[in-house]
Amino acid sequence: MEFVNECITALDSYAFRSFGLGERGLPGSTNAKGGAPINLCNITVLIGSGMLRNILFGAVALSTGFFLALSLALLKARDEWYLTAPARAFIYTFRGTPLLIQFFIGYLIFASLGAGVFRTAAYGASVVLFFNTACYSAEILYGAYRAVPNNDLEAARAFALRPFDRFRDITFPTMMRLAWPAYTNEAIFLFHATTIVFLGAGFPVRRQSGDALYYAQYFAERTFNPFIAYPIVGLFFVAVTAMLILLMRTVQVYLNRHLRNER
Amino acid sequence: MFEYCPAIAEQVKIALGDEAIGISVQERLQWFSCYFTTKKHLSIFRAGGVVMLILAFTVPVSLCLGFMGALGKASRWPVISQICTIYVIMVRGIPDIIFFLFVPLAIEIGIEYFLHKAIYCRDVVEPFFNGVNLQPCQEAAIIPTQFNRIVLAIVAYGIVFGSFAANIIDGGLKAVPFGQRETGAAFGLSRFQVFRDIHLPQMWRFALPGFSNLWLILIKATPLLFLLGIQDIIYYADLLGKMATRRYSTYPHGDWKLWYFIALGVFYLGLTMISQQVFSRLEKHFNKGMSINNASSGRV
Repeated sequence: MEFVNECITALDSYAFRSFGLGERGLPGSTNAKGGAPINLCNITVLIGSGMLRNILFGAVALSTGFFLALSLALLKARDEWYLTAPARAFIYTFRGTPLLIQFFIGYLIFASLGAGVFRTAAYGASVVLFFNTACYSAEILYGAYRAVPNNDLEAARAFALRPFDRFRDITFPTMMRLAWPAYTNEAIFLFHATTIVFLGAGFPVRRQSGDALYYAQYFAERTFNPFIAYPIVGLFFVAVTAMLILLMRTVQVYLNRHLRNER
Repeated sequence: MFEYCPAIAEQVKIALGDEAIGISVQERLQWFSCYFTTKKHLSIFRAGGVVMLILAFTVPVSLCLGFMGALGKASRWPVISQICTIYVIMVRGIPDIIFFLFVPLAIEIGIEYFLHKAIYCRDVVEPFFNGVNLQPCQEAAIIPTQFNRIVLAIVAYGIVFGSFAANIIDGGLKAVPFGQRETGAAFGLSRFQVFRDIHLPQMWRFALPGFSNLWLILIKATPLLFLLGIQDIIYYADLLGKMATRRYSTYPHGDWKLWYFIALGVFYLGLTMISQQVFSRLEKHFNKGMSINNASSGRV
């Protein structure tokens, strides 16, 4: 019973700690105000609260990045060299450099521009993640675009569909269908990549509101014991990744609903 | 090597600030040639070498673990096959960075535990595991050196990328048509011979695109060494790029971090470019003599 009470207290004070709400001092902190003991409940709740941040990062970057990715992919697929060259260079730059360095450069650029809100991890890192995932997805979508069967397009032309209709009704759905397995992978990778935002990627951490791994590292350092916090954060990631895969599977089934074998 | 450097440094000390207007191009070049060959700068180049060294050690380790995982997954003993299956799908669920942080620490504590129990503190009454806290006794506590950290990092990278590699090798082994193996068996080859002469060589062909991808991921994961407390190129870029005042440095300059990190980006971009060239050649090599040309490269 005591255990349950402890957990309810932990939920009460730390459920949204990663967004700066709730109790100020982390468990085991040595400031005057802090002082909640480090126990399993606190560790789990705090890491779970950080997890929300990871999910938010991933969701925002993926959903906004998709549109840039689509534009980049279509630009890269054009015939005019002055359209393809910039798209190619942009995609290549982001795919060829490590994300950590992109974070550092992004932070330094934002800092030198004096862009207030973007100097914080929450906004600045989101922008970097947005560009990063957009470029990786663009490459996937570009590959899918090139793999759209020519017969389908010929048929569409024979039906006198206008270019926009042809794109909307033939090219785009086929593209998405072909790209989806690879896109699922990209989503998982991006979600996992959000863990390095708070680990020393240049962006300052404000009021100790970090992500799941930030809190896991905090506990591991505070207790000199990695065998509790890291497995917990690992399990959290396994669970959320599984849910992500399920979600993407559902979409894939929807995209392939007219095909009997490829579901 | 650059004996004339201090003099120039003295002369152009103020050079790159606001007072740099009257300085000629040649003098600037000389200043930079001095600046880039200071002791501190040589250490960033050495750190680049260390990164390459870590890459060179990681590849064989992860290939070994990858083969063990992939072959173990197909094992006849359920315990082995289950452990290997978990190993193969592990990195798909858990971010690699968690392993990079966890594995070195876990190994370190394992050694500490051994020292604590077996060698130094056999008569200490307080338990090693005390609730959520760990406390080795004074003599058993290790403070890892740079070299130890690097070795531990190689192990951690090996485990993570071994798991990725196992995934790829497993896929490659499955992609070889079963008829090929059947034919081998029909010719009277033993299981091992079929594996060595027919199954394995063809696996490479199917696995190569995956390996190329994995190598690029590995290259792009090396900056994470910085997060493990290793003094790698990022550490030095951060250190050298900081604003250097006239008081503490012979080569004062403003905040050049951005330029340093852009240089690092270019370094990695170059590495990626070279790797892609090499892998496209390898792909040609492994597909030699295959009747299906470019079947995997998609329609155009």
